[in-house]
Amino acid sequence: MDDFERAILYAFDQSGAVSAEIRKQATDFLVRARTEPTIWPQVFLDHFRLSDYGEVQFWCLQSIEDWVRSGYAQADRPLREAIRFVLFSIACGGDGTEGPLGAGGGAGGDPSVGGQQPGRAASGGGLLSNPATAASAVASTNAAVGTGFDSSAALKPRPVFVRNKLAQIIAQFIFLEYPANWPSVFLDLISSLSRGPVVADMFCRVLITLDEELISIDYPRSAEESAASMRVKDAIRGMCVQQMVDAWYALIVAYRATLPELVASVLEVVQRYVVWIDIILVANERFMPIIFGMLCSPEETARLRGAAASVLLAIVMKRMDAASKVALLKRLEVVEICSSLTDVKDAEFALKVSGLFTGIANEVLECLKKMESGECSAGGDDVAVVGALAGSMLDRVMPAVLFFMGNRDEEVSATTFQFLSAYVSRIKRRCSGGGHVADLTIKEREHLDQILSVVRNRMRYDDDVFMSLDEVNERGAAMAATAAAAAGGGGSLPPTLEDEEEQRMEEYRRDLYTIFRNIAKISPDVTREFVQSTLSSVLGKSNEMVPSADVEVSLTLLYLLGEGAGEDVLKPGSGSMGDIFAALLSAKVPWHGHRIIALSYLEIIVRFVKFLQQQPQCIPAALTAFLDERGVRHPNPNVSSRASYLFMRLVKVLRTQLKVYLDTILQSLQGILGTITSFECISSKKDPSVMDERLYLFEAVGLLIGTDDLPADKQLKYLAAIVGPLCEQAKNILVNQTSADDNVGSPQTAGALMHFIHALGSISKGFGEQLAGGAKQDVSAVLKQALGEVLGILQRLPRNKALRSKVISFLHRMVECLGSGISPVLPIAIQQLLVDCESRDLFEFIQLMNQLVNKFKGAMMGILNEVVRIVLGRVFEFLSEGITSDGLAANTEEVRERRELQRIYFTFLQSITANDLSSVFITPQNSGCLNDVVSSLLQGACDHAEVPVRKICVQALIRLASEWCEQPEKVPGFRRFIIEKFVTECCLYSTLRNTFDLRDANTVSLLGEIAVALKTVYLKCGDEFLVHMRSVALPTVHCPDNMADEYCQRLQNSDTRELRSVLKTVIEKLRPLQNGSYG
Amino acid sequence: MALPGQQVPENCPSFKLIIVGDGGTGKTTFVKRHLTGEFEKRYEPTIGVEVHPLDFFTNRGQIRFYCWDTAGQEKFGGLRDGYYIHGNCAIIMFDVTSRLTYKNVPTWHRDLCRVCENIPIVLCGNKVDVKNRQVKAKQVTFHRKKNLQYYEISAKSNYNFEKPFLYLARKLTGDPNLHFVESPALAPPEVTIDIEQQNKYEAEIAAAAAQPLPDDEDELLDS
Repeated sequence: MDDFERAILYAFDQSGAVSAEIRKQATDFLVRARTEPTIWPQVFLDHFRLSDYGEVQFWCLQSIEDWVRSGYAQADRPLREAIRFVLFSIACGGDGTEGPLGAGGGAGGDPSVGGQQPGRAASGGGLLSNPATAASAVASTNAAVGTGFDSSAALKPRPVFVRNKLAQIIAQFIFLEYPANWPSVFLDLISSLSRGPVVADMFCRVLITLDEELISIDYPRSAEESAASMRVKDAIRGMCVQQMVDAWYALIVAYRATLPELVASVLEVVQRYVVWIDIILVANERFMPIIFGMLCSPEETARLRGAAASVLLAIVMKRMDAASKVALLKRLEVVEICSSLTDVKDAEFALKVSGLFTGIANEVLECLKKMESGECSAGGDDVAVVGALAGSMLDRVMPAVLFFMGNRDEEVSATTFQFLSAYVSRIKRRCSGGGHVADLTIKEREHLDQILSVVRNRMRYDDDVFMSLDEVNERGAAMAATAAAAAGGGGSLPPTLEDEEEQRMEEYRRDLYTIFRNIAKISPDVTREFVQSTLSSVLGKSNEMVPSADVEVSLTLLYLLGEGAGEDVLKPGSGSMGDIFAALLSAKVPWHGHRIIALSYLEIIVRFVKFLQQQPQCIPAALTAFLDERGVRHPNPNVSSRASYLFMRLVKVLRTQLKVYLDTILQSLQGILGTITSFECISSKKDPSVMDERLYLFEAVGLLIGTDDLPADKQLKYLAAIVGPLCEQAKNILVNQTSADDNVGSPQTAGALMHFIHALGSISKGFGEQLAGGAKQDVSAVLKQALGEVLGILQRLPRNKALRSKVISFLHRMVECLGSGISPVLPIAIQQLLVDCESRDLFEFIQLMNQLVNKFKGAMMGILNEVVRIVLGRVFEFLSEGITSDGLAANTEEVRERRELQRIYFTFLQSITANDLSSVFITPQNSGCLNDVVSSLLQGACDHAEVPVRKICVQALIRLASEWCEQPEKVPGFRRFIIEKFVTECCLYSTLRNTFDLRDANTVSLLGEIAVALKTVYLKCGDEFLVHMRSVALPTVHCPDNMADEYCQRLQNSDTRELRSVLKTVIEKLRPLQNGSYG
Repeated sequence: MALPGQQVPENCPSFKLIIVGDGGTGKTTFVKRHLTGEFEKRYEPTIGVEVHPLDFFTNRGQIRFYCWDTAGQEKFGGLRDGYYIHGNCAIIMFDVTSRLTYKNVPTWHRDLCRVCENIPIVLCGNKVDVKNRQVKAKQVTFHRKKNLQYYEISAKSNYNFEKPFLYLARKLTGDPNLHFVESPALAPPEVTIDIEQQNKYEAEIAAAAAQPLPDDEDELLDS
């Protein structure tokens, strides 16, 4: 090991064996080496050639790569060619010493550099005049040649990452020099193939890397790269494509038996290049038999067979018009040959084959679609012939697709989904175009039936897995409870295998759902009968008679079927969907206790709630299911939580019908409601700040009590019975669970109080706005009293941010619910909320202010006058830290937070101005902020990155202009500001930038607002405004005189809608005249 | 491969895990969630590479990932893809709030595979806790083409933190039933993805709805 190598190995070291100091020295040395003439490039090339360490070889190549990418263009041509020569010589199996750098260093001028030298240097290699025979010659002497070369210095196999790096540099050379300065590269590589498999491997790597680096459209490319890609492809097609294809063939034949991995690489090349070379070069008598041979032969390795499948898929997917595609598929007989390919054990290979069949089917389907829409080159009768041909191909490939759809391996089966969805959608489109089920062909109907039953089979859980999903979840629930005590570390329980299983199944099922839904739309009767028969095979049976997974899948199918079902199909009648549902409600469901089955059952009830509305005699059965141990009393907390939410959904629709059961429901729920908000329950939770999902029960109860047609005295009685104990609980917590010197509270205390506030908010949702007008005083009083309790909490624990946020949410609710009834408490509440208000708190606070301003309008003047300068002062303080709109740093949390704050701040200004409260900015208390407010609005209106925000700013400025521009001025200088700044910079200059995109809907909407602004300013400022436009603003943007006159004319005469169109035209005409000054 | 002062426990298999992706996608934040790592609000570009040993406890014993947190920005100099050498597995990270970072995923994948052929790779879309994401889950398709595993994660809320490691552990051990028996200590989540937020948005939406809507917006767009 020499010093150079040692430096590289030290620089690479991350194991700690090399001290940071030495590593730094090594790194510095290497950086210097790149510019040191005694070292660069000779030492780099030598070490690449001869070092025993992969890392050293790699590092040398990486340095050369850096140079090729950055310093190459400036380097002397001899140096460029010399370096290229050494690297290419090694890629071709030489040892890199034949070149000018070999002996004396420096860049000598061998005129033949870059020519056929590598070929010449090869001992007896010679040019492959006929690659096929030459390569088979290679094959016959393979063993001898292989070992002979592997022992030589040049062809010792280098690590994969070194070979790939070398290929990457060669590809880079091709990008820079091919074909103009380096026309022979591919032929040279090809002629070196006789040197054995190491060169063949390099040949494939170069071609694959070239595709990845330059040609493939899977990567983002610059314009320069795209142009180079075209140039390289054209040159290859014009100069050497035939030889290249011959070489592929020769390599496949030569190495198929001995080096299947290498042949798989060759096939990868073919698969990549077939996209842009003449298809006939590959889809021919010579290639296809060997590709099919590898694909279908069980003796070959799975990798090789998979690679053959990929080549075939690439051929099948080659872009061409429909008629040619059908002809190609017919000629190749892919469907026929591949149909034997259903015995696939290797999972990877199965995936490939399934992909291949699906790809073929997809292509045929695409052809059919093109012919149906008239995009087909074949004329007249031929279309029918081709169409029939394609149709029969589809029928023949379908069994294979369905076979793979039914594959137990989900990954394999999922490859078919996209095609099947497309297949079903195509039929659906045809049917929805006025056609009927009767129009389906016999084959199509057959296919749909088959798909339906495969959908069901694939949706079904494995029996053991499904049973374990229930058991384990109980264990999980128990663990969650015990872990709660030890909580605080922040760690969460690791997800169990079973949770994962369920998630994965849900993910996998999603596509099946789509296919099922579409079939249900195409042939509703067949689908309904299918669901009915699967369901009736399980209902009423005992657990011993039917596997639980069958029950689950039947319920899920009914759930899917019920989606979007209109009232007509729910009407009872023989075999209707409603009948199926009614049968479900009246029968015993086996395995009902299973967590997933219990949930499905409840979801179905909510989905069919319209049926219950029509058939109230079925309500008791549904209601009982929710209230007993199948619903909110289910032993599994997952079920009882979800049941609570679903019960709320049910109540929302059946409010009126459920009135008669109100007493029963409340009695039944009372105990549970008390538990949810109890300190004992919440403090035993792992994270008490996460809201219990069962809180939805309070919303349900609120909806029931809040029903309009319930007499006020009853409402009062029920509401007090719920809210009273709640407040009692909260009081006790405040007394017993807080200490005098603590203004944050323990997590348990805060959590319990948050539950309390949340419960109150949920209940209030049931009352809508019926109390807002001051009606039902007694009922309002109950809520007001509760509001008092909530504000008491805020006062007691002012520094708990989570709690404060909850209080703000609750205030939002109370504003809606009590209306002006909330006014008396507002000043104190607002004062409290402004204490210790940080960026995020401020956001929430402004949100509340916006709601208040929009709701109470002028009545807010007093409060607003007190708080505006405080709020604005804080906003400016936070925003002064800057909001960069680009660059890497733009995406941090803090910047995002500031942006959100800025957005809500603008909304705040807009709410104030829109509600006739602008004068708050010119009172003695607040006028100090005015300048900042107005200039931030102007900046927002001109420059903000988000167009909707600009619009908000423009709206606010319009309001200010219409209030303050009249003579005599309320705000001195404002009129001038509007004319010279706002109108000029926002309404004119900013619209001329290229970023003002008139194809964008938001921008069009902004333009409409700008038209309103111009019109408003004209009406308020008249000639003063026109004169400024005509003599200053428009000439500044090089507006021709006649256009400027017309513009001013239109400002006076057009309404805002016409004006918007005028502005658009003006912008389009003026933009090219700007020389980028506003772009 | 132990770092100074650290010992790999006996019989604890260890793997080199490469983390790549554009700058600012949250690679450093992600690895720092484990153990004592603290969520970094400020953007501090990684220089070159940092190696973090992350331990996980499975039903088959402890395993360790040496996470090579690589820099996302530099074009020249440094060892760049040199760090990938001898990688056993990888995570490619993008930021769901930035389309460009997703667009560059194929390039990261290509550069990675050039050095480490056939290693298990997980694609991670980070920052799913952010409200206005730019890359929707539906638009993420790259992993299907290349047979990678995809997870949506939120380093900030610990959401799905363990998923990528579990997947890689299973692939590397060849045991599809491997699972973690205890959670690593994670920094406490900074945000929770919660339903409560909704309530406040309702109010905001109500306020927005009160705004007058301009007439026939599309008129100009069509023309």
